[in-house]
Parts: sequence; structure tokens; C-alpha cells
Amino acid sequence: MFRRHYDLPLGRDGSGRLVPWIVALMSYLATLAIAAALALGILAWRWTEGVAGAITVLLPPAIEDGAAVNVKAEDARVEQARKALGELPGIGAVEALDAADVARRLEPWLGAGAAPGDLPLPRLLVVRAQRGIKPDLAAMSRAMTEIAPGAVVDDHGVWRAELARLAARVTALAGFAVLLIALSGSAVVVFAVRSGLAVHRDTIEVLHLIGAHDDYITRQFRNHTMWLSVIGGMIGWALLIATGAFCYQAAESLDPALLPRMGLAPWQWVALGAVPAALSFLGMMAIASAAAKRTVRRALAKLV
Amino acid sequence: MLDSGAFVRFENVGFSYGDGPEVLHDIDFTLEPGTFHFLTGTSGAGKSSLLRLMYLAERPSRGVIRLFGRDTASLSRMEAPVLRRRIGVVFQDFRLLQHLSAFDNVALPLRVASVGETEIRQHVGELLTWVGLADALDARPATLSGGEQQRLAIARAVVARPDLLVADEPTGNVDDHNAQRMMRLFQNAHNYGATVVVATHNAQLVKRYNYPQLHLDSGRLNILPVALPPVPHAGPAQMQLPANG
Repeated sequence: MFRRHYDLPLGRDGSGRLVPWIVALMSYLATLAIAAALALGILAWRWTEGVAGAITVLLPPAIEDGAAVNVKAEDARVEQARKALGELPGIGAVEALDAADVARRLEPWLGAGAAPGDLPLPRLLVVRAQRGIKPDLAAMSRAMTEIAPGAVVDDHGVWRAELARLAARVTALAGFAVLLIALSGSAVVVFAVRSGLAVHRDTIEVLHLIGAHDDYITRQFRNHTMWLSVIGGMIGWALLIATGAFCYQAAESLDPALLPRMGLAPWQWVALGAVPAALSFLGMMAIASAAAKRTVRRALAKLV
Repeated sequence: MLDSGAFVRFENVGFSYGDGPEVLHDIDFTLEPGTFHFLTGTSGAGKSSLLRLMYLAERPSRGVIRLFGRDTASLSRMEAPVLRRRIGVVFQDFRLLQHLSAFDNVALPLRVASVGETEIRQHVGELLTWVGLADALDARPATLSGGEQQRLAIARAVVARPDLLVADEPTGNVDDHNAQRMMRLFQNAHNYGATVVVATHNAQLVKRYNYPQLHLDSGRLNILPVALPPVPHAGPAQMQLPANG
């Protein structure tokens, strides 16, 4: 891939000195952008998969102002709702969360001391539709309103759509960031190659006059630029490994009650970093190669 | 456009640098294969410009230049380098690549022509011996004397056995002894069949070797025939190694 030596002393001038560092930074940022988009995509998929086909029914607490919560009456109403839902067509299973379950889920916000009945909390039922059947949400809503006025039937469609929209926007943003990074990287390479062309103008003319094809000269610039990119890629990878380890630690230490866990195995974390890193690396190599080639060719075209 | 009769042919060639005034006017001459010419004229007469046209560093502003039967105006970017490889050039200021060793400088024309490294080692070794630089294979040009650098430049110009060898004031900055030594190298190249054009304003050298002259005067060319028979020691000879010194 690379020649043993260069007729042009490209490594001895300062024109390409910054290229490895810029490529390292560009690869690093591009990888982070792609990885962030991928990670959000994975999260969105996991979250939406978790609620796919599930419908949540929320029964508001049935209490009058100032009265204490009657847990037994609430339980009876939940049971009534569970039965009513089970009789509707297309319903596979209905799971009712008892008051203790609800209190436990609210524990991060309300504290461990809140006992069922202390607060007027809504009651929840999780309804699973039969495979391939879309339940009649309007009928469910009517049935629940009869049992508990103000009941809410939610198939999470709005939330899922918002999540999907967010994921798509982040992906687009990441794509835009990668595009900007690619353009910046390309500009840096073009600048470095132009400097190299100016510095080695005499040598290039000698090579040209003794019969070197444009390709011969172009190849030297391209190979040198790619070599600098490889060095930059290595530096970028070192930074990414450190960042990946940090993110893994941070993700593992998140409070699972506050945020859903990504639940990735260590090898999946490696894959999450390696795929964008490989893409960024190959992308930067391709950009460096193309930018160097194009710049040199345009310069050589001006020679007779 | 192939014209087998014209080895080097200039037809009513005019040349100017950019939009500047014309420095060469109505240049018209033919060089037959295997000839040796001096290109003479005072400083600024246009010798270097004429040579630059000859080794395809410039294109004429008008007229036609044919090299080895090809109209140079019709050469594509892929074809021009192939033609340039048939031309050996000794530049006025040598233009040796300072970061390369003597060996690598001489090897350059072979490398750009994709010749194998084994063949390169053999040819370059022989050439450096021929010019008396066998002990300086790894030397950088900057460490060589002026005469040695000139011989190195000649070795680079002839290593690919060019059909046309042009030299721009090769004896300009050397003493008489080195000038004669250089001329012997050009004569050796001429003996193996190269057509040689040596630009010089050294009247003594021209007189001593007495080859036909392309004489430039204010950008106009006169062809001066040989005035006297060549002196015995300057005539064609077998390829031979010059004496060191």
C-alpha cells in the first residue's frame, strides 16, 4: 500500500505536522456522534419494544376531598376493571398492579416511607393484546370510564412516536455533525497538501520533467497523507477507548429506577464503539486519500 | 500525428512567457538522430528557453515542435511523460534532489519509469562508476563538489539511455579541466547513439570541439556549420570511463 520511500521528502517539512492530530480529533468526534446516534437508537428500540402491544390503563383515585384512601375499595374497583377488560375482544392478558407495586415504583420520588393509602395514587393495569390484534381503544376507554370516571387508556402511541422522532432527529444531527467533520477534515488535508506542493514545487517539477506521470507524484502525496491519517486514527482510537471505558462506568452506575438501563454486555459496548470507530477511520482515510489526490492532480494540471 | 522523418523539428516556433514579449522568434530547424550540436548565444539570447521547449517544460506560443515524430501539441497528459523519458536533461543549476543520495538521484528516471530495483542497482552502479562517483553512492549532493554535482546530474540525465540529451550551460561554473571531462561524458553519450545539444556561451569550448552550432541572437536562430574538422581527441569514441580528478 505504501512505497518504501518517497522521492518527495514529505515527512520532513511542517506541512503535514498537524494532520495526525486533526484526524485524531475528527475521528474521535465523528465516532462519538455516530455512537451517540446508535446508542439512542438502541435505547429507543429497547424502550418501544418493551411497551409494544401493551396498553396501560390508569384509574384515578376515587376519594372525596379530605377523606382517607380506602385501599380495599380501590382494590375492588381495580378487580372490576380487570374483569371488564378481560371480556373485551382482542385482549390477551390483564395485569393489575396493586397499591404496593405503585408505591414501589414511585419510591424514588416519594421516598421509602410512603405506605399504600397514605396518598391518593392512581392505580394501573397493564393490558396485553392478543398477537396480531389491535384492541378497540375506544371501547376500552368507555368501559373504564364507566367503572372509574377520568380513567385513561394509553397505548403509548404518542410517546413511541415522540421517541422515534427524537431518535430520527438525533440521527440526522449526528449525520450533519459527521458531514461537517468530514468537510473540516477534508479542508485540513487540502491545506496540508497545498502547503506540501508549495514547499516541494522544485522537486515536483524535476520529477515531472524526467518523465514522472501525474499518478506517480499523486501517489506519494496520497500515501503520505494516508500514513498521517493512520497515525491520527490510532490516536483517535486511544481516546475512544478511554472514553468508552468512562461511558461504560457511567452507564453502569446510573440509578436504574430513574432511567432505563441500556443493558449492554461489555462486548456490545466494544461493538458500539468499534463500529463507529471503524467507520470514522475508514471515512477519514477515504477523505484524506480523495482530498490529497484531487488537490495534487489539480496542481499538476497547471504544469505543462 | 506521426512524422518519422523529424527527430527534433521546430517549425516557425515563437515563444513568450505568459503575456510577456516574445523571446524566441520564428525558430526553424531540424536535428537528425545521432547528431551533436552546441547551442550558443549571449546571455539572454534565449538558449534556456529553447531548451525548455525541447525538453517539454514549455509549450510554444506559436509554431510546431515535433519530437521523435510526434507533434508535441497533440500529446496527452499520459503521453507527455513517456516522451520526456526519452529526453535526458542536465539542468543549468543541476536540480539534484538534496534529500536523496547520489544513488537515488541517478535512479530517479528509472524509478519513475517503473524499472525493477535489481536493474536499477546495476545500471546506477555502472553509471556512477562511469562518471567517477563510485565511492559516493550514499553521498548527499550538498557534500559533493561543484564538478561532482555536475557529473551526478549528467549521470541522472543519461541513466535511462535517452534518445535526446540536452544540457543547459553544463560547463558554466567549472574549470577547464572539469569542462573537458564533462564534454567527454557527453561525447560518450553521443557515441551510444544519443542526439546531443549542449547550450554554452564558452567560445573556447565551442572552438575546441567544433560541432555544428545552433546560434541564437536576440531570440532568432542561425545554424552555423562546422568550420574545421573536429580535433582528434574530441571526436567520437567508444564508451569509456573518464580519468578521475
